[in-house]
Amino acid sequence: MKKTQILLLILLVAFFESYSQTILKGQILDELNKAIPYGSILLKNTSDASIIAYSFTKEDGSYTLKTLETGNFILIFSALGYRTKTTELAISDSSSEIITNVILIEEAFALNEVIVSSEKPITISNDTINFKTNFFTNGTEQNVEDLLKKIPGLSVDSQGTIKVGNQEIEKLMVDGDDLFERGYKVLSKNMPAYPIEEVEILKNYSNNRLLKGIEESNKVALNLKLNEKSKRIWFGNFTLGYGLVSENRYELKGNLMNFGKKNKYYFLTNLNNTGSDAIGDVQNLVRPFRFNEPGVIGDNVSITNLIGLNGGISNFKRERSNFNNAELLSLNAIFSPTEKLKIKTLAFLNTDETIFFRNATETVNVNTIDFTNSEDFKLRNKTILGFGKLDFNYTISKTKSLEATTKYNSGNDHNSANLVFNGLSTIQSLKNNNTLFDQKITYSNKFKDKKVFLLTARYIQEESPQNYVVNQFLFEELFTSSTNANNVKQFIENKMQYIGINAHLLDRRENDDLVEIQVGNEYCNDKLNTAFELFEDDNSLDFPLGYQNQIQYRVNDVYVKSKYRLKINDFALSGILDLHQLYNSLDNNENNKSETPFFINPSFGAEWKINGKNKLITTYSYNTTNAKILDLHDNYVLTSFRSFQKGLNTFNQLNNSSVVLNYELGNWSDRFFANTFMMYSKNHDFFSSNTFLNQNYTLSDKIRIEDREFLSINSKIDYYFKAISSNLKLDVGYSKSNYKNSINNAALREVKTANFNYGLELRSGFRGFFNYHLGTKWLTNTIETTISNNFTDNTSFLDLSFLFDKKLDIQLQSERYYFGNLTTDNTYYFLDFDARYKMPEQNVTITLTGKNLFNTETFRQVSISDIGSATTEFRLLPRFVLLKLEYRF
Amino acid sequence: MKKIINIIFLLLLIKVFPQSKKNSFVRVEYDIFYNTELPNTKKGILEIDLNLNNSVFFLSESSLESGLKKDDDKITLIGKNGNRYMKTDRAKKLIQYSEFIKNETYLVNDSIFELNWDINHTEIKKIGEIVCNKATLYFRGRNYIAWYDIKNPINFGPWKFNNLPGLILEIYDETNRYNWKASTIVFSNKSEIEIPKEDIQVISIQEFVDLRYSQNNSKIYSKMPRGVQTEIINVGRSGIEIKFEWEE
Repeated sequence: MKKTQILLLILLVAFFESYSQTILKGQILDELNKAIPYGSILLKNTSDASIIAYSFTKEDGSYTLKTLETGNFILIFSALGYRTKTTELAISDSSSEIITNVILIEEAFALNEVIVSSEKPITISNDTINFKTNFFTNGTEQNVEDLLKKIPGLSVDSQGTIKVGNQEIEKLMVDGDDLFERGYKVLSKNMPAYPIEEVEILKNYSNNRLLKGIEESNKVALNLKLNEKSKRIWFGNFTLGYGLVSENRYELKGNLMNFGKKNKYYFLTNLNNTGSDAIGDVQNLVRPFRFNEPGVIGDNVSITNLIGLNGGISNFKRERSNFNNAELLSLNAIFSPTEKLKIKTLAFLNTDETIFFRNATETVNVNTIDFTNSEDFKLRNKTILGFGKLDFNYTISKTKSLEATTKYNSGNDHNSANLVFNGLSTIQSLKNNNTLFDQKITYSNKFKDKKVFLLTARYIQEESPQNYVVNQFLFEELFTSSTNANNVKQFIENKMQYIGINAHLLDRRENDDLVEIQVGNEYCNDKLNTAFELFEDDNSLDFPLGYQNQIQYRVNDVYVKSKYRLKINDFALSGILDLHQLYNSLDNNENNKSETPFFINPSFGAEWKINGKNKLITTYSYNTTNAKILDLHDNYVLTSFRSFQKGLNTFNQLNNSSVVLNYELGNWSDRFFANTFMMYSKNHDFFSSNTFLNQNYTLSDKIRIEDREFLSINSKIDYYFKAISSNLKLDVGYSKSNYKNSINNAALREVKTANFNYGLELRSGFRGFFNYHLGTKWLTNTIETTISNNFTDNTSFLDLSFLFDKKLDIQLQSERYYFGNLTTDNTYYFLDFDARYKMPEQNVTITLTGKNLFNTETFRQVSISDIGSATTEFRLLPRFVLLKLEYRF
Repeated sequence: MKKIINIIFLLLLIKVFPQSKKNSFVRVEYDIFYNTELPNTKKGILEIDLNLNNSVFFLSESSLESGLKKDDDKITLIGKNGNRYMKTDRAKKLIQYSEFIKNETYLVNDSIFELNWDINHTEIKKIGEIVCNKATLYFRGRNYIAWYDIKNPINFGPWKFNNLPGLILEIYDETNRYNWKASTIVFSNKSEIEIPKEDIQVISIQEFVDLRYSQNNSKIYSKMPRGVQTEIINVGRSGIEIKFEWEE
């Protein structure tokens, strides 16, 4: 019995063996019957060509393949240097072993080298660094700003300024086209991140493509490249948010874009009362300031308003105190009707109603003067701003181009403020109108391979009248003959016209030296009319003498600017010599003065690239600045409810010398990167003030003083700790300045201010569930005159990020502010959170946002000045929770 | 007479035009992207000796640069902290590679050899102009996806990956943290990589894991202040291999 059982067992096993497995074996030989080692044998399905099994031949050319499958298959025999052979094979249940021997025929190698195209996450070529975004993002990025924060080497600060290393970008392009220039924050704060596939950093960037390779540029620009499915289609997103458990807070955001090859459109709208500012700094859009840009003139010409009733807390997230109700609509498009012509249009309309609350106590303690003022200030501001820009860029030929830009800006501001000043109730009303028209034409001609000629003409016309009414009369002591006045009006009319023409020649020599010569003429005509009127109710009492201005200031500057840059190996020396012949004419209330000063501004610089990691730059420059119209009106103007200001009635040129030293260690991509910047500046003459201080009013006269010094040293260090996968940033800075002023006609006194700041930031780069970013910063401020005043403040923050899965993530942001000078209420905590839940199939994201969860309603800050100190209390947006729904299409 | 001359000519012809010299070396250049906390890119060169069926994988420290510096057609390896190399010998079933721990160089002998690939995938992908098949693998704590070219029956790949019926052109782990991608394939008949014969200590893979990970842990435990109870904290390993066979 046992024997049969065993036999049965063996039979069963044998049966199963043969049922389950088939052994394919054989030998692969070449035509000379030599074994082919290390060849491969593949068993493939005929139906779907999937590989079932594979093996390799041994040194003797033999192979063994085992499989459990049955059916029809193909066997593929291949070896390098031989033609692949395919045989058909049928495996049935009953097969146990199939022997297939093949002979392979030699085949010469057709190719010697194969280049496989590859997708690298970071590609560097010449001046371009290309990042493929999918390697750096984790899906929580909402807008372009969030995406750029994740790209190594790029940093975005709290205001939205994008920097590569330490250098701010010139522009943010989309697929090679730029809409906003320096006003790129409109794009980075609003455009969504999901359609972006690549981010390119363009170093040594030239705004004018004909200057590329000729001008010495360390400018950088960013280019965002979209993925294929987002090109040439209309796409965008739409977010609607409404406040829960709090007073009606709402938010509506919409982006609609189409980035085609010929035409690009970007429309955006933002309506909110949650404090967020959709434009960033609107001045960068309307009046961009380009420094050291060839062919640019007139960027520094603009009207400065004398009266300002704005509020804002320094060193603080603006959105916390911004009680707003803003509506923004922006329509932007780029058309390329022909290959040579590109037309850009930009239009936006912004209306906002903001309320600002401030409560301040100011103590003045100078010489024999000692008083305290208290102010309870509520400002309501209604503003409407409309801006339009039209840009034509015509490529005449490969070496010639013409660009014409027209800008029009119209803004209307109405500020009304309720002020309780030392118990006295005051209502102020300020109306501002601003109209700007700007036309610029630039012709560029690259007449030789390394020589460019630029011709620029620009016309700017700006008007900014202001109308200021205060319904209190605090100036009995000043206007003794009108003691029954009970309100005052200050009217300011400010008109400016500018015409400039500039010819600029750049010559990049064979030995890489650069010669630049500029010849130009700038004419500026400024009219300032101010009228100060005393009223009793509605009756005009007086236009007091000494408080009215009617001046016209004309300046014509003919100049020659030359620059030579010498390159010797790793050294670069540059010398600048600017010659200016000015014609100044001042018409002041029927008096006329003129002068024709001539001045020379030299400057020297040296750049030393010690090696790949160390770079040293130093410059010395001597500058002469011509007085501006606000320095020249010699009768008083009311600039706030209790201060008057006047300038000097004489022409002035102020001279200034400055030395700058900049040392860079490492590159942004290294683990260790340090940048030290030092600047020393001495104003040989400058405008200071002689202030008459009184509890109810101040009169500030401009005086010309000699010798003001300013020193600033700042060092930033970046170090990456591999062990904790985190990046440490250290920021240490010291600045000191000396200047002189006088109070109440007393002798000049010296004012010394010193600032010392040090801070560190630690940011993690974990790829998983959790990430943190924490930092702390100390700021010590000292002002010393005959007495010394100082304070130390500390700001700390902790941001935590939790990524539960691809659908859910939570972000927490907390801040702590500490003010050393306050005895009570000197520490403030804030907590914000964002919880996001994504539903990718429906293209919907639900976000729950909470701001100011600790409900900190007031915020106090201490500031010191050379005459005393002030404690200010601001009101903040109370806690609110917003439920947002975003739909993408 | 003529016939003999013809035959001699024929024989000569066969001799003069011998069989095409078999290109006995293949050199594949890989772009390597370690998407770790500080992302960096490296270049790897896999040189396969087809006659001896072994390979050398050479890793260079040129981060973020697209191009490898060669000196005179020979790439010599510099010892410390610079370039790493890995030798794979299929016949002797041996993988040997250089490692650096605390400034000391070691040669590690690895125990695993035949990798168990799952080739049962029907997806194909084109890398450049080459059509590749898909294979997946679980290896020491990570799941990998590889794309190999069956037209090139070279059973080698970058790093420790081998034993697929074709040359591995692209391989990455499922979290995309470690990525290898071929950029060029060159056939030649001479070797260009020379490994200097150095007197380096040879250790086994178990000894290496012990040196690298366990000893660090004990250092951490030792620095804890009194009163701190320590459970066995598995200090997360970062690195390509996070769990070894003898730990499973």
